[in-house]
Amino acid sequence: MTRILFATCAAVLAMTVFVVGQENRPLSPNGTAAAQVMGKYVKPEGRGAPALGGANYQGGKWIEITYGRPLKRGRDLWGSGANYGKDALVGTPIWRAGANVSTRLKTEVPLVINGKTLAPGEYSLFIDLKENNWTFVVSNWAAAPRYDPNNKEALWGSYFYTPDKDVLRAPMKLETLPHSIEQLTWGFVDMSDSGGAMAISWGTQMASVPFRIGT
Amino acid sequence: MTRRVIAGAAAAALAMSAAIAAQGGRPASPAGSSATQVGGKYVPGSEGPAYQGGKWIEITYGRPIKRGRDLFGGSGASYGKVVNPDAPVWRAGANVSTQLKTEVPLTINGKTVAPGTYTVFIDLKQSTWTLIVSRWPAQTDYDPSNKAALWGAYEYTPDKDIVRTQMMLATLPFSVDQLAWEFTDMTETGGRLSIMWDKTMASVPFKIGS
Repeated sequence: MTRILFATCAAVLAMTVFVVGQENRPLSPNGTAAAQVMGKYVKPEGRGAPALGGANYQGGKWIEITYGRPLKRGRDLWGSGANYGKDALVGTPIWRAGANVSTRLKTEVPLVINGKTLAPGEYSLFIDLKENNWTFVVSNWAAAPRYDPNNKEALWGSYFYTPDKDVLRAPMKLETLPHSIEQLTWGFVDMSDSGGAMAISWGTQMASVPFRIGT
Repeated sequence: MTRRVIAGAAAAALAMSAAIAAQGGRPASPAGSSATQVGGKYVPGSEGPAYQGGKWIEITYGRPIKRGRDLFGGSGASYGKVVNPDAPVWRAGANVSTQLKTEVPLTINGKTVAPGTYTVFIDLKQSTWTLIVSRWPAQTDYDPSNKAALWGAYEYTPDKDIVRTQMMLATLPFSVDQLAWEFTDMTETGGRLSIMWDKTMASVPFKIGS
């Protein structure tokens, strides 16, 4: 109970800081990464080369990650040893891999990650942070649109996360980037019509998990 | 009205209607932004240090998706035609012009960019990308009768350029599917403005201050 109260206080404080920061502009603006698969380029009538912007790409299905985008702002993001991940976790059981609202994965097609099928739908994403060992977690936990301590059916960020609604867990491939990304970013990399990888980058750390399209 | 203007306007109108009609109202190239903050301080807070008093630098843009295309293939005169088929320079995004909004003065390639909102373009030549910061305002919706602002890079002219600078080109070890602008290697004195798409990363350094 003490732990719950403590976490609640922390969440309330986090919310307050979030709202009052910088004249109401969130300190960690919202972001989205999207990919589209299984569509076809259809040559437009009366025009030559296919235009950019997907104008002629038709019938594609979306895969999307929505999340809050915290800034590095000069900090050592990960720490080390017993303190590894502590600043990112802010007292929560698992990292929200974003900021504010829980990171969400929305897919219009079934995906296979680490041998498990993810049916079309919406999920919450978390990362279990261990030094040199990041685990990608897809969960059926719903996301609360705003922090509400009375809402026990949905999570705000990763506060009160429990593993019982996990759909799958997968080890992430960790890579060091040649540059430092200031604002946390999720992206789809190495995409083809049969799959790709979801990648999170922050600072010089990149972590990715491969997926296939289909069941 | 020249033929080029009409062609540009028609292409933009087509791009717009396609963008809106595609995928049940979801734009084929969703809007995106990247932001960084400088000049603030961490002050002790109950949940740990809180960052206060920072000034924002932000880039807003449309985020086209690679969707299996060879984006920067081609050579000579055909180079860059996949991403920029018919505008004088590349909008380096999709739909609305890419915009840089800064609350602090920036120095890029020796030129000062005063606090304000600017449009950003890239002149694409094989092995030579030039970043352009322009005073051209951006249209929020495509309006062919609006001659005081641009939609994307259609009708761009260089007379409102503030900065032109050659970008550093690098090859990424992975392919980024959706065009991304990012602030990289940031410190309190400056950093780099970077664009990544497919395996290409192009960046320019900037300093905070005039």
